[in-house]
Amino acid sequence: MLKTIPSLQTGDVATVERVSALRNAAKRLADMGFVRGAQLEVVRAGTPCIVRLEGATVGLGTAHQSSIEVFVA
Amino acid sequence: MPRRVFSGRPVLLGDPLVHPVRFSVLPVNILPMSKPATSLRDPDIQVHAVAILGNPNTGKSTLFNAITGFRQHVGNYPGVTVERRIGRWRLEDDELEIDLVDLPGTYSLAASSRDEAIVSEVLLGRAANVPSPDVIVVVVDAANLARNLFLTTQLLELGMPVVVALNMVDLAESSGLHVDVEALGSALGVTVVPIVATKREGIDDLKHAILAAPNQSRTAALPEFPTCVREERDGLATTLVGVRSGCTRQIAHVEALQLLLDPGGYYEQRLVEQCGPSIADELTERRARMTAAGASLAEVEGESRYAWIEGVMTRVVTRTGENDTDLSDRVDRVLTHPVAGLVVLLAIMATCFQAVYTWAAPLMNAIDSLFIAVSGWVTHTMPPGPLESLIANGVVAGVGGVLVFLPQILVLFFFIAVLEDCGYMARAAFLLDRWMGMLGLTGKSFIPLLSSFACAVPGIMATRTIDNRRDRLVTMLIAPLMSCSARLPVYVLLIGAFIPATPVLGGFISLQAITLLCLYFVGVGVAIPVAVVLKKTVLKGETQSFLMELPTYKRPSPGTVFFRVYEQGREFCVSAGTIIFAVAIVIWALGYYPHSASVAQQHEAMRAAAQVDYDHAVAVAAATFDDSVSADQIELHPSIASALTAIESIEQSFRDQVADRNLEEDSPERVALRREADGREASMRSSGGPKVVAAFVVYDARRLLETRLADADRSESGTYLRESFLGRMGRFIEPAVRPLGWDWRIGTAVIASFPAREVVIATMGTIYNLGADQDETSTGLREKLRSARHADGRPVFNVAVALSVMVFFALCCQCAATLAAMHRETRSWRWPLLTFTYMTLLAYVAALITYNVASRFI
Repeated sequence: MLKTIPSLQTGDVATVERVSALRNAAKRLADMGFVRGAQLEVVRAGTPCIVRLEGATVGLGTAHQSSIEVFVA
Repeated sequence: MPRRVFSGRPVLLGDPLVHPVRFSVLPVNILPMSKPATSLRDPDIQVHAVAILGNPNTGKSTLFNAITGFRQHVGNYPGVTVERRIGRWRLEDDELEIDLVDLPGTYSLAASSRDEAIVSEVLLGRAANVPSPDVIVVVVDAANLARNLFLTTQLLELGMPVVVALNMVDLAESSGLHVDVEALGSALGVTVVPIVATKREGIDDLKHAILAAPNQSRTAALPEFPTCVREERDGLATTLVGVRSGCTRQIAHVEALQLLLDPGGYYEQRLVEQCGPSIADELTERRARMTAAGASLAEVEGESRYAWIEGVMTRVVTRTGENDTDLSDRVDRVLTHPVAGLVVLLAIMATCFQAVYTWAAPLMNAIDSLFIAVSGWVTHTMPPGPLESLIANGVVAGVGGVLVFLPQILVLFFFIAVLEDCGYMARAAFLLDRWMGMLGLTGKSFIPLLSSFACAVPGIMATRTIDNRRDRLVTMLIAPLMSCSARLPVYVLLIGAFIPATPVLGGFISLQAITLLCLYFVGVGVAIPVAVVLKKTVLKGETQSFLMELPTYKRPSPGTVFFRVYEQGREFCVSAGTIIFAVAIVIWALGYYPHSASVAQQHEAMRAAAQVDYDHAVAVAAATFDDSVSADQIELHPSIASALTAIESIEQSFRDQVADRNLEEDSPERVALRREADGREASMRSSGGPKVVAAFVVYDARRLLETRLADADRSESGTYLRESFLGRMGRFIEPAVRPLGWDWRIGTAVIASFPAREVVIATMGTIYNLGADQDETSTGLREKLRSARHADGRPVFNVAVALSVMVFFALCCQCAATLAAMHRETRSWRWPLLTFTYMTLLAYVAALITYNVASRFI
């Protein structure tokens, strides 16, 4: 099911489907590794939230969170 | 940009799969003439400049310090304001010196902040005064390889020699990740050197690899982009090579890709500045074709590169154990908790401020006494005159008044460096993002604002990490509202003089401490609406979303902390030595000239009159003697001299007791002591003969002479100041400051404190006829402020006036260094002028309100 990060709970694991945001913000996220197929885990839900992506821990504010569409198994 | 060498190897233009050694693409005629001829002949290519770069938190600076040690210097990139660190590195057995350029951390060549833009500038060879690198060292975090390889692949495409420094291999191993160095090297086609920068492991291997890098040919398959992207990129690259002289095909490729994928971004702005808006049309067309072919501009680069990286990762990384991010996670469960985390943050901040004020105090006193001593020495050794006054009151007092704050800045930066290096600062920014969001800012503004409590200058410099221009400006504009350490002396002086030390809250805290605390809150309280207003008016824009990596916690490296503190200290001293120095001289000149001779004559007359009166009194005393003593010999007469000694010893013991017990002017103990001394003198007078009486006459006449001479000196310096340009300005603005409860002297002091707030104390000292050697604990100045009177006899100062002055200083922007830093950072006078204007207006209005409210209720 396709969701964005704000609807995930702490501990949820999801696969990135696509990044849709104002272009340069989206490019920045994609450059950091938020690309189709990347696995992420929500370490702390909320605003901002903390996600783990390929071993890196990243803090994400509201706009960035809702611009990452993920697929939850 | 052309570099040094031709390998003669054929180049496969435009083929993204094969990565040829560069250098051979340049036509000979565009080689710059200044390059040493040897590098053209010599098959062993010499390395002159090396750039170190990598993702944030990969230990670049630690590596930089490990290689260069003290042989480094920090400056700003001209015009741009990103910190520039260049170090030199001499090889053991070689005369060759190599410049090492430490570049800011970045995730991608796509530049979204000032820091990142400078990386591209240097790599593309466009930064003035920075040597174009011959070799790029990319520092890669072994535990976070995939993300780090993204930037690495971008750099490989530049076609310059690259060495990969695989850092923190020890941490990766302990968290169960094994990286096959050989396999990684062959996948990337470059030398990979495993290092542990904090333990200086692998540094020598890295140095050798750097030297060997330009001579290594490499062919490696690099990430492949979809056909539509490739076509447009190659087409645009052809245009770029045409418009830019000396641009290699490979650099053009790299630039073209970023140009296409980042509409309106840094590269596009640069290009349009250079080639005019027509080029933007070409970009738009090409982007439209790419989008039509199904490529997502934002995602295509990430997808292509990460797909390639995925393939490399499976060959290179083996998981030997469980992922051990547990400890960092457990710590974060507390430190990033919305409630517990904030409590810890407040505790850390409280400790930090406590340390800033307590650890620094002894050093500050030492510096202060040193400058007072130097100033005194100058006054005593140099003949009086403009030069002596310029050095003692202008230069030494001005620069010294600022350097006093160096210890506080060092302590604060020690804390900031430790917190940053261990990874905590990112968590603090994360925690406060929600709160900063209310001001329309992100958590990234927190660190600059925190620094501003010590000094707004480093705070303003720290805004460089904020990638959004508007957020950066708002942060910069409100940073000077945080109560910096330079305001403290003003607070200490006026609170000590006018606020009673009454205990409140059941004796837990004194009224003085509460006043001090309130003054700190005034700044913060005003900064909040100011930020909101700025975000809604001049710097309108959406609230940016937070995006920040939270690095794994680690032990801070002493070297990195040391260099950070050292650099800040150095930068502060340089600014004190230049701007503040210059402004101090200007203010001194305004306060010294015109220095008319008639003032001197008038006071010379006063001194002469005092001398005449003394001579007369002594002559009268001498006349009472039967053994005729001449007036000028009377003090040497044996019985007079012994009586004088006795009187002097009574006075001396009174002074000693007052000093020992630190008694205030009107304290009952002091009055009692005075009465006792008077009693002893009276009994001496009544029991002694006429000689003793004569001795008292001489003694009193001498005391009177001393007092009158000192009065003449004070009145002279006071008159000079009142008649000086500065004094005239003060009297001119008096009507404006009278509603605040101030007289012209306070107004003058405020004008004089434009270069730096703390100057106000020295100026008040001069203005209240005390000479300039006053500091905030000087009881003399405190007393003098209390006893200062208006012409009609009312006291100048009362609680309301003191509060009004303090509130003014809490909010005003009387700090040349802050304004200069702002100018440096924004490359315009617009923002410093706006800041000065809005803060002065705010300060005025707030002081007006404070004075009127306080005089009604207190």
